[in-house]
Amino acid sequence: MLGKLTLRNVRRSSKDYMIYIVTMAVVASLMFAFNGMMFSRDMKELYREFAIFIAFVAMASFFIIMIVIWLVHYMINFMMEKRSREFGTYLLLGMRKKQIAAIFRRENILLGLISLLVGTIPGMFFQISFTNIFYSIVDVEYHISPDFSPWNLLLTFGLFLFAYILALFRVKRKFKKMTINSLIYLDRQNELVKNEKKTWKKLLVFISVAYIIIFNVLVLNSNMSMGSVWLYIAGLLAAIYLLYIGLSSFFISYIKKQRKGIYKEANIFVLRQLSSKIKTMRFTMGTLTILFTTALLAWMVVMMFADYQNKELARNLPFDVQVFNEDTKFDFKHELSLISEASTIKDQHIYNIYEKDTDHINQYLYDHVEGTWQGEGREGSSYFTYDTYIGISDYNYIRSMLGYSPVEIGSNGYLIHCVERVQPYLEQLARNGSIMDEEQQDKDLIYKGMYTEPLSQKGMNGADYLIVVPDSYMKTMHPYYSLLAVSLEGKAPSDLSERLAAIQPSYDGNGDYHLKMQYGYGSSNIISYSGIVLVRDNSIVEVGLALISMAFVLAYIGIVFLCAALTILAVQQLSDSSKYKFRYSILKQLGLSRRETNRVVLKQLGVYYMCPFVISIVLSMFIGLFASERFVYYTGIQAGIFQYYLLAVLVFAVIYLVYFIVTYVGFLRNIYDS
Amino acid sequence: MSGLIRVCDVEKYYGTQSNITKALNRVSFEINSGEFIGIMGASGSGKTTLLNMLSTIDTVTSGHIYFEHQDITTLNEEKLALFRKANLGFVFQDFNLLDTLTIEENIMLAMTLQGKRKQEIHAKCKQTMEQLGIAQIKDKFPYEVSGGQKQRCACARALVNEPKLILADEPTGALDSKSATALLDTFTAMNEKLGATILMVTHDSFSASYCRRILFLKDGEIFHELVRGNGTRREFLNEILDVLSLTGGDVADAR
Repeated sequence: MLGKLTLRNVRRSSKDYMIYIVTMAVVASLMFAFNGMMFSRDMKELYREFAIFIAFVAMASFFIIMIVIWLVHYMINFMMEKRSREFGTYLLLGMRKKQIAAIFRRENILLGLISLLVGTIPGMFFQISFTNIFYSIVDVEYHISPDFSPWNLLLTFGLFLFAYILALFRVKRKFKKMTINSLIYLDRQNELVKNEKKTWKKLLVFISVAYIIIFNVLVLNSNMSMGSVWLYIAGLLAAIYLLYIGLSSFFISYIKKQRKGIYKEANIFVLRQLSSKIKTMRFTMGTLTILFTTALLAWMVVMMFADYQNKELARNLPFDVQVFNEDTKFDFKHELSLISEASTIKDQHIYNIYEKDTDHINQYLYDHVEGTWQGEGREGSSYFTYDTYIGISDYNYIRSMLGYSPVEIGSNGYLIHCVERVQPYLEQLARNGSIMDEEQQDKDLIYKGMYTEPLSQKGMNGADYLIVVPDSYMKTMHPYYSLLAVSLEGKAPSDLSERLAAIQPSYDGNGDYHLKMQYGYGSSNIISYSGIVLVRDNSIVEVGLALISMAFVLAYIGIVFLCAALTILAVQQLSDSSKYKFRYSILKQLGLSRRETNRVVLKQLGVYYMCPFVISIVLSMFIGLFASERFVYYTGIQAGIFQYYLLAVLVFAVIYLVYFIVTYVGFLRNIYDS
Repeated sequence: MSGLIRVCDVEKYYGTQSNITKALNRVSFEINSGEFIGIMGASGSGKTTLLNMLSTIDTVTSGHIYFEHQDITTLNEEKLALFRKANLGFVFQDFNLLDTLTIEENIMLAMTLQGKRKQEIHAKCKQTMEQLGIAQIKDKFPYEVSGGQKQRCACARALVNEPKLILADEPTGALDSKSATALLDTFTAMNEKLGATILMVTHDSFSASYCRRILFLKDGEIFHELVRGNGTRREFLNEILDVLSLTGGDVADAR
């Protein structure tokens, strides 16, 4: 009998809380898709650094589980409140609290299972289409194959069950504390409407808005010190909550001041509805606004980095293939034959970087450039042990390989080729005449200028800089290390980088190189791309895959979170619409037509939904503008983030709209349902 | 007095084909402008159904209802809403006040929906609240005032737009006897001084005795009609009780 009761209840709940079931099904399908990709052979074949992807998904799964627990927990409390009368009746009939708790728990697990099952098929579809997107990044055609692992089913099922069990953890205790009386009257508690005596509360709206504006102005003018920034952010969080606390009083004061707006149609009703709803939901709405803002910002910041890295990549890897070797007489024979096996070599150059036992330039940079670091022993540093030089003919040759015009320095000139970041410091040194060492005989070389075109200066052609000197001067210097630069016809094969790395004497087979000398990585702190074997096409694919996985995983977390939050907003409104149905039938008696009633509902839901949406967009936009401005300041690279931001906002808006429409339609159905 | 409403052969069936309940069976009567008419009957006699037909909240199965020569059974949803707005006022047993609005706002809303101007709304609201003695509680919420006060608020809301017909469904049903008497006095005043036409549905003979004319419903049909004439209310009450005891009305009423 109890089993039958459970099933009936599940059937009713799945009707009443359709939006919740569907949301959980969407979450389940996304979980299926992502977990499925973790186990997918197709993905493993495609993605060499597959561990990164697995790590991303695992990290995301953690967040997803937290969100699911939160949502299920919220919904369980909500349902318990709504159905308290029913539970009270069970108690009256002589059921034990334990039994009721068990029924309720079973019902919820069943609801979870329904969502999970409903989500499986779209999950498989998502997995195929996501994998397809990954394949298209690499320009490989994807032959759709049923690549579904039983482990995926088991994992997703396990995670879901885990979340539900955690969320249902305290149900029994909650039932234990309840009495028949409290159960029967719990659902009768209406939202308490009061005329606020404290009219000062409405001032909170102005104070919060003023604070938010000041915050944004400070942010945009970069007028915040790093120390105080946390204080400002704490203030911002407080301002968001206070805004919602004040908003309810603000509406009431608007009514009391008898402004013109309240005499139009049913506006007075709408305002009262909103003020009481916002009053009971203020904490939830404040939290949602903060989380929406964070989600949008996180998306934007990550996209900014992604875009930066994409642009940096082209600058960091101007050559098709580059290989470094400590041996100054290394001939790169193996490497060249390997490269020519797989592709056609258009041009190649083997050359040396030189040193002359001096390090005053490096020391000067260590002293003046922010963010430089000196590692212990052979673990690498910002700069090599010695200052780095190159002969003019080698320099002009590699320039020609990159399509740059050749330069002249005559027999007594020198020039500097460096990254933009260190340009002012080296210019200062050159003006002082202290680039060349005073104790050596080369003091007579004349400074001929500075070049900053991309030249692979993160450890290949020097770290940050090279001093270009006449060939005749090379006699006074010692070869420091050897380099191979190659231009290819067409694209490099996808495994070239791996195969080249494998034949390096310093390669340990696990992705690490062990050099005898101290390697210089350059001063850039932001994700740099360096290594002793660089194959541009391979790196671009690799980075592209890393970017797309990051974007996917972020979108995954963001969408699941958004759906969960919107479910809460929607379920609140839908349950209100049946609880307070009488309000709308009174409006009907007062002569409101169906169309007019629809408009009242639209206004009411519109403002309710718009609040967190608009506030989070305004906030994230300003903070985002600041972040991108700082980014340009630190990196000198204009990251094109706005298209990403707009994309995020668009996705945000579409999901929002879907929930809004579903709520609106459901709301109307509930209030007209006789 | 002229005929305001004509109900002609109205029938209402509920249920599916296999299980039909006849709630109203060929009911016909007239209501004149300025009348205070009562409809009595036991539970299930069709009182509320009839009221719902008149208030256009429910539709007739067959028959016609003419309101000032206009057949309101033929109007569509939009026109019905307009009709209700312009012609009807409601008072219900459970007050049907909007719990989120104050007493004053409840009355105001009825006017703002009609698109009246701010000054007019304020003046009329104030006047009506004073007439019904609820001006001092205008800023309170429904849950903060007594049942009698709530019902007077509902009356004020029904009156404020000066509708052609006020429909009252068991208006004293949820009130204690003192409040009920006060309310019925209010109704009488509304009828006599303000000239409001009132149709009151009740199964309470005491309340019914305030009416000028009473229609008795039984099993969906009108079986009797009483007119007060020039007698006192007390005499009229006795007449009502006589009718009820003869026809098996509420036993409590006949004692």
